[in-house]
Amino acid sequence: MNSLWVLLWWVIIVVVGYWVYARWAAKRVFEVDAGRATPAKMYMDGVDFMPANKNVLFGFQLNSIAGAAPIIGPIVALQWGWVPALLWLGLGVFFIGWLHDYSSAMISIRNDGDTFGALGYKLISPRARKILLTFIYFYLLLIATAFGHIITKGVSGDAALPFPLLVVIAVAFLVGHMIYKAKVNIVTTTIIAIVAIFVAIWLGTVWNMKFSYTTILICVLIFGYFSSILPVWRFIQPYNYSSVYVVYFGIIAGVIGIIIGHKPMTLPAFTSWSIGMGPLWPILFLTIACGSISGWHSLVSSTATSRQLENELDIRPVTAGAMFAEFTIAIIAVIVVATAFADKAAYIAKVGNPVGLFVGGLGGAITSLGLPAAYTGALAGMMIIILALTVINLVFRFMKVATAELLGDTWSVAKNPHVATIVALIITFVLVKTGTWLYVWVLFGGANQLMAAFALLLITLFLVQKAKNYKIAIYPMFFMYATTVCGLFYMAFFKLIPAGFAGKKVFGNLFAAAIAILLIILAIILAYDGWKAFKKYKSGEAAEAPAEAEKAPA
Amino acid sequence: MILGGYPLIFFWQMKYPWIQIIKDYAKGFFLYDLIGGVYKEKRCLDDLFMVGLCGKLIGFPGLFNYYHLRLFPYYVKRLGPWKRRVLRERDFFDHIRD
Repeated sequence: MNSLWVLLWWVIIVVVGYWVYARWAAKRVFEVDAGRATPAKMYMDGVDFMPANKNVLFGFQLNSIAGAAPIIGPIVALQWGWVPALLWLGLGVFFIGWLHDYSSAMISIRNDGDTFGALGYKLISPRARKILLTFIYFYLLLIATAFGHIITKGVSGDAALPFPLLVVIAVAFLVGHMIYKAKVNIVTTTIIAIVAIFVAIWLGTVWNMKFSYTTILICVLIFGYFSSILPVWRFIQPYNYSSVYVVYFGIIAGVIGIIIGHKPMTLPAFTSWSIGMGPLWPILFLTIACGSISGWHSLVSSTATSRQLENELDIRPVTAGAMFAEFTIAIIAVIVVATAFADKAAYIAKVGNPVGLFVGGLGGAITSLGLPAAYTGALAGMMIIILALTVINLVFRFMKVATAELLGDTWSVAKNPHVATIVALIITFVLVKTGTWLYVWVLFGGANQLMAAFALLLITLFLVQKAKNYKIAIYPMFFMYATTVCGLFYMAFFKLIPAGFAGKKVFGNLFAAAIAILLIILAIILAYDGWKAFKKYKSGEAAEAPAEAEKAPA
Repeated sequence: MILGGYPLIFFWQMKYPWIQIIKDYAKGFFLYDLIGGVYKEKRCLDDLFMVGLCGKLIGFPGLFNYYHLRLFPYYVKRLGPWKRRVLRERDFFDHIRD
């Protein structure tokens, strides 16, 4: 089948999902009101609460949610065939994904810009905040492990990547210094950064460098340490700013390459209901997280975007719009990989190394533009490495804060940023070195989807409390809860523990199984508290006073 | 290029509103974090200044009474928002953007 037919599926999902279903839900279920004062207006402080234009916020939201996961998840899930991957991507974003992002922002806006910690405390139970925090720590650990491996495996396996990677990191420091210290014009700084990075990618294809897996892993963790310790303006912000151009260029070139090349899908449409990684349900639904539905988005929507929206009508274009845009990125990833490999065997040989998969996929698509294959391969590789490093940048920083919040009261040394970061780095090192990446990726997807289920639980409770049509959220919540808990259970008891007891990567697999079991226990406790809260709101016992945002005059 | 006292880009933006949309989108995608970072740095300095100015109200010793009294009337209107923001409960989730 020609790959352009896939774009028809994309058009149907986006048009009906965004302009019909999302518009209906915004109007009929959430009853958006352009005259209602938003937290951005009521509590404007110029930084956290700050009204911003919807187009600016759309760009910000997309930048915050679209990392490497909407690319890696779908291309790994092609093991079941591209039809199941495309179906889950489309139906997931249509029925759950956009609703999850949209409603997360909406409930935060209707509750004075409260975050999920405060909302969990108010809507579910006092212990919900602590449970969410514990859950998030392990969620972050799985992210660090999954993405740490991707970078390490990719850079150690491709001699063209170490040099441009070093240059990208050096350029980040340079850009930070030029913007904030030397006060150099942003346009000049940007041009220097872009030229340096693209030239470095070309030089990398000439000056090959080879390092071992452990060496690269230690370098990545050192990178994570500095990301966590240094002020954001010194490294993280300039890194994200200067490197995002490579990603953008890669995506645009890839789309043009797909259209020019319009190659047929060479990978099988469907392989089997059950493969080595596990059965299609629930494992495929955990393997593809971002692009379909992702719990991370609820954190961005409820903590950052909800405090910047100047009008309730803007929530749909910003949050649902960005979600459909991310779905588009995932569709592109599926097409480039499904059209790039001659047969399934060539694809399966690289499935443990997503960077290798993407170099073959996107690199091949960009070659249609007439660029040399060596350069396009390195460009595609750098694109995925940059996205993964963007995630690593943030993860250790969050883990540092989470450690201080979780253990700081009982173990004062946990408040020390160096100690908290180094503990997180050591655990990550151990899990990357001893774990099985494909299993860890599924666990990360499971934790991510479980976060989405928690968000949907909060949304359901909010709708019940306000006597609105909660069915729009409760069925997706049931589906996500059942899928993630069953998926984590399957991974723990049918994959990780048997592999561990069979003597295969014993420590890593058993450690990952313990994390999966812990996540299941936390999910069950939260579901129990959520059920009690649901009954309470349903019976009308807790007719809470309306939030300030609703009382405020238009 | 100047046309009637206005740069030509303004006329383009009036005629083609999508130019402004793309500019806004690019600002959000590429620059919004950087701009937010600058505002955060500025806010840290503002906080320090407000503590110096209004610290007496919450038990900090007043170090410079003369300037405190001269400046205070200009900053009274900022006291409410500053107090609300500083006293707002913050938890882990608030650090997602930090």
